[in-house]
Amino acid sequence: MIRESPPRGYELQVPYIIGIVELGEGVKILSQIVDVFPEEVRVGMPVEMVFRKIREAGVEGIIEYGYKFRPRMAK
Amino acid sequence: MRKTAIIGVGCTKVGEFWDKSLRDLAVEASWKALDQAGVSKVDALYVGSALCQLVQNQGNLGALIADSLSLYGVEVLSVEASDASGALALHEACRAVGSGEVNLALAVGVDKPSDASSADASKALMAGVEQEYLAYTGVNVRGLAAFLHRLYRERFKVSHEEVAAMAVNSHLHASNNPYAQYRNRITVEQVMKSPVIADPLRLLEVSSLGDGAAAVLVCPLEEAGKYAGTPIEVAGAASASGDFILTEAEDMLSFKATRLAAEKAYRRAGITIKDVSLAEVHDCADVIGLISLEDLGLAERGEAAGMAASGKLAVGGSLPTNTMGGLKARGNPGGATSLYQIVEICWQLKGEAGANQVSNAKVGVAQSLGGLYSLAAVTVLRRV
Repeated sequence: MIRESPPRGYELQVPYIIGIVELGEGVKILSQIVDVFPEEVRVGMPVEMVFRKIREAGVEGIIEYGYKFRPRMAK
Repeated sequence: MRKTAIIGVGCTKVGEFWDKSLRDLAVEASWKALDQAGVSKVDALYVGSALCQLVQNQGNLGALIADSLSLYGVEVLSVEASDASGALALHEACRAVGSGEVNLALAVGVDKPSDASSADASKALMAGVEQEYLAYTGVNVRGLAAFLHRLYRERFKVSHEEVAAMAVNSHLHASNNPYAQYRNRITVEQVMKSPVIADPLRLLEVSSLGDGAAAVLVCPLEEAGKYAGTPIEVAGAASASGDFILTEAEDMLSFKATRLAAEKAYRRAGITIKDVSLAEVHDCADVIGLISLEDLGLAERGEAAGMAASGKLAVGGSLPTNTMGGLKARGNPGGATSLYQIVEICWQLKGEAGANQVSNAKVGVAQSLGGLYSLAAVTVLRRV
């Protein structure tokens, strides 16, 4: 969990959780883990991708969107 | 290739200098190095900086620093390789002198991150790390180190306290270094009580940015006797690239950049790890310093933490490490930090390390990382 010195553009999100996510094909990527309390995150937790706002870029504040992951919802 | 030697070294104190500019710092360090050898002109100037383009918006540093030193007509090159910038500037200087094309080359490393706000400095530091998949998540360098801290302790079954001993060791050494940013000694208990900054990493386990500059003057070894001062041989200098995306490494707890650079540098120097008297490693976080010692072959995998905890890395121990405080306590002036390592090893090999002098130091190894793990510079220095 990032608690201090967030890079410019991420200041308002502190604190935020970053995890290593293993995709179905075995590729590992880094991603923010959202919609969950920090104490609930554990290694091996099934997650699913969600489309979210990443940051507002530059002084114009253009919004960048992208992927984040959240705990997989029960089916 | 001709053999090369360092005939002058200089650095500024590491700190926050509101009354000095980037160029003031570079000039101060450079004049010290030039004065030591008794020269005022060089043939080539290599300037390493990690952050100047992002923090000061200043590019073309080679020409800027050359002009600031009243050097005209010299060959200049600006080197950017994250925290390894200064070391790579030195390696280029050695290559130029070694080739026979120039006789005197000055390598300077400088950065002044205090000109930036915390968020901008954090972003600038991440410039050395992959942008599309890693920086994009909002992770900072400390966040990446936090993953490795957790994985290291799980894999090798070592305690948080043992890992923290690396930071305690660096502060112990910095207490005797007048150029260090943080000269206070700390205890493992203090580390464990300091705020969590990126779970599980605590504040006293990581280096923080400071302003500073270091400079190293190089000439051919066979001509070193012409200059004032004691020469130190650059016995082996090598750098190597590694994985650029941390999560794609086969083993996240071993950086192939360091392993490959060390292999080359030791071979060029004709040494084995048994010959090493002391080491300077890239402890931007305690765990990164431990992994570095292991990748250099100076510690068995998973055992560097135990070495730190049992005092083996202290001056007087079996492998004195970061004897002037390392990045953690001497301070981490970005692109200059890897040249501070060289300056400090030269002090040791020349017997000028004061209270932290390692007795009978003959060979020193400096290892610096760029982009936290993706690039490594390893330099082997030897007493002549």
